[in-house]
Amino acid sequence: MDRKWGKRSGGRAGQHTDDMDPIHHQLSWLKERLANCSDLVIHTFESRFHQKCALVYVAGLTDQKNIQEEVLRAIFSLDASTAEEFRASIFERKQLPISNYAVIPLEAGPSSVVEGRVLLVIENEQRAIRFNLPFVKGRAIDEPISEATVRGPREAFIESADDNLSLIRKRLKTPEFKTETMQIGTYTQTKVMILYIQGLCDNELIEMVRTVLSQIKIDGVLGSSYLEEHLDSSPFSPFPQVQYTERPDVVSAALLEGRLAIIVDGSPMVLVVPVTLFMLLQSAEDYYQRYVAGTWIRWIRYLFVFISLLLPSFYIAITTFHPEMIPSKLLITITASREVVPFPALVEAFIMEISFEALREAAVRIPKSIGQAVSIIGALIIGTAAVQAGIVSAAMVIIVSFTGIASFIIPHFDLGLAVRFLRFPIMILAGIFGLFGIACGLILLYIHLINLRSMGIPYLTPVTPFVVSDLKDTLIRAPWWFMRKRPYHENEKLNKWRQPKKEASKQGEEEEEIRD
Amino acid sequence: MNDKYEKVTPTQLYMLFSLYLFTTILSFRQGALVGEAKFGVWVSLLIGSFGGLLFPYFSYRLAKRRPTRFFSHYGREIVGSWLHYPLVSIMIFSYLFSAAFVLREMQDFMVEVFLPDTPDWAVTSIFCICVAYAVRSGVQTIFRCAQGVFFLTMIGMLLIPVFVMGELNKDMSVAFLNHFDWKGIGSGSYLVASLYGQMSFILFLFPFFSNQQKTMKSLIWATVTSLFIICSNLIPTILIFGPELTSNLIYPELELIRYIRAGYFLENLDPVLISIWLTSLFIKISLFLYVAILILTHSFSLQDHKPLSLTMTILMAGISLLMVRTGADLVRLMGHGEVMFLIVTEAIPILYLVVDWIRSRLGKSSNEKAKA
Repeated sequence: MDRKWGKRSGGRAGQHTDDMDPIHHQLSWLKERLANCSDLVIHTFESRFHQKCALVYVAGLTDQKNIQEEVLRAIFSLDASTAEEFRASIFERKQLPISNYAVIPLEAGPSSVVEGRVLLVIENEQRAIRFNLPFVKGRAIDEPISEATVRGPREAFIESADDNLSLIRKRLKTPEFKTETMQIGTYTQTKVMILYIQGLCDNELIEMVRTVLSQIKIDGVLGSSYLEEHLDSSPFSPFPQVQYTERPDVVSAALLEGRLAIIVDGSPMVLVVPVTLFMLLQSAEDYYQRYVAGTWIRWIRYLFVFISLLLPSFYIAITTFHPEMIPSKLLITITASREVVPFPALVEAFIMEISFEALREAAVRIPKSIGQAVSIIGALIIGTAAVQAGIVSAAMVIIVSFTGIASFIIPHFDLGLAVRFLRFPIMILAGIFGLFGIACGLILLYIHLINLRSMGIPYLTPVTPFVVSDLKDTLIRAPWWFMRKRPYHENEKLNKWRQPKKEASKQGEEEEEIRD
Repeated sequence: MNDKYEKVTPTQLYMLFSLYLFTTILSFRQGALVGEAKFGVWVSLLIGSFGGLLFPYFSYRLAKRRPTRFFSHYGREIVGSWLHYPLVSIMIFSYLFSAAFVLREMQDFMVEVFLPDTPDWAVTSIFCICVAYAVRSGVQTIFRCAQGVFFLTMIGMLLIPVFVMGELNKDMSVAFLNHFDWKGIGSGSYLVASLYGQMSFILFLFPFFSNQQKTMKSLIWATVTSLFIICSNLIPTILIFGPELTSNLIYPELELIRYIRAGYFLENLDPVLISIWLTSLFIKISLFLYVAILILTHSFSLQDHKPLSLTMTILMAGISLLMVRTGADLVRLMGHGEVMFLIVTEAIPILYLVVDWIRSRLGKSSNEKAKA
């Protein structure tokens, strides 16, 4: 141990010696506040001027190597001739040769320590120094799991809010990109960041989100969904009113559309508001493919949303109430397969749909090693044995399988869940009233969607309220050179042009020519 | 942020009334109309629709005099409470009755054609749940409902004549130009005018409209659009079935739809198309009921219409189920008095307009005298 570093004593809180009277008061207060924290380290030492000092930190959250190499070296290398000068150069002149440190009152010390900061306490001093030397183990940036693309970027968010912010900042190199940070959760003190682009995002929206988030009083926020449910305007709706994504490019695109993003520390999902039904039916891949393919796939997706919601109900309604709709040959095939089945079509569909839901849930929860076995058993029982035993008809197996595949096409998982859930009441209506029941079910659903809003924006925008200019990214995926206007921009103060107007660009070109 | 979505835009007005106007004529009045006017049905439609449009025009003129106030609030200032409340009661009953009437027609149609074993009350109940939800949600929801299904319904309705094009007896088409029974055309126009004149209830909704100057423009365009849709379906029906058979069929439009064969996949498409059609009927019933509830809410000086929506929906369902015993009675009711009752109700705003105009003239002249 180098002599010039002075005397040092220390170790874990439990092993600490109380022979340093002048600093004893401060440390005992800190120890009292942080009692029974076995990972707390109080490292006491004496400065060159025989002042009692202590470094207080949590072992797992701080970079101990840096504490040794940077903080202690900086303290002992400080150019001072007296104890008073030493104190002044640290607290007043801030001359410690180390970046990112702040002077805080001692009372704020315990919360800083548990947040992962290193605290320097000096005898007879009611202030403390807070060093930011984080060392949090987390996973590296990986590929997106739930929103994979073929041609798009392959980066996904991770659990660290700062890393996630850097992924977005990397894409939006403008000072107009603003971030606001707040802490939510009495015990977790989770860092929550609001992101928006000034001049594109409506101030009313920012204020609304800020107000909602600041009013949340909760003990802990362990995932973005904790905040998502607070942001819902209609909490009893099965439809998601907040979008979440693990893709930084999706968040950047949303910010460029004038929407607002919320990063929650500890969650790899970033929230985006407001959202409409049609936004939830868009996939990142739509914008990386050629627009013809993007449009085609988008139509397929719209079609399959209806299939996922209505196919079993249509089957029930047509076979039970409207067999005249089916061509006679097909009707004979269906009737023959249903001949041995003892249940009405509604019960049969319920058995199959609920079994399929159970299988799907089991496939998600069980360990991967036995997942295959469960899939085989499920396929065998449902696909073959149930038909052979005459419990369900082969036609129903086809319908349920097709519906299952259709439900996976919906890009947003929560929207898929809503559609899966709503399928059941519509099936009951189809079983009682046939196609009339389906029409009534759809009317109820439609009114609900019309009434639904996400942060004040109607959920069915741009279909109703009807915004013709926004259909270019809803009905089709228009080519990029055509998408000159930003969607959902009614506030005249905001910049609504993604690409300059033709006249403006021509004028610009002329000016450039003159300059040349 | 929310305020801009609370108003009804001229586009929404146009889309709703386009659906509203063609729906009952095509669904239930086609037979009666062709029975009266025969080949001159298109003339009846033209005369009737533009004649009927005069009723909403007078309503518009009255509403424009106090654009930010609801008629039910200021009506008594014009004619006095003793006359205002009985007249308003007639209007409430008229709209409630119209809603119940369309509901009954819809229920009879569903039960007769698609759900023969299902009890009437069950069909009415499930449909009334939808109506109650829409009415409770408010005027914006009803108008936006129409906006969302407008294009789908239009495409559906315009596809029907395209699909049956091959079946038309084109030689018959000359009769549309040389067969005019003016007495029948007159009766047909009277029927059409009563249906188009029902738009006079814009008087009660006027403060909800965002761009009030464009109200009549929207209504005129809605009339033109609905005429186009009605004629595009009615003319092929006559060209396929002839005027006699058309007037004797209970649901000629349904028979027309049944001419469509969608190849081998589906034998006929009528339940699917009727499901689309049902939405327009739903919007019409909801709007009638909403207007009745709105007038009642304002007459009782209540703040919110929501508490009344379920009760009034139940009342409407009750009237609908009990008003007549059979479909034949319903047709008789329509032929005997219902049209006249509608026309009288639609003319009530004209009375207010005349009284208001006279009073304002008298007021002006007395002011001038006082000044002099």
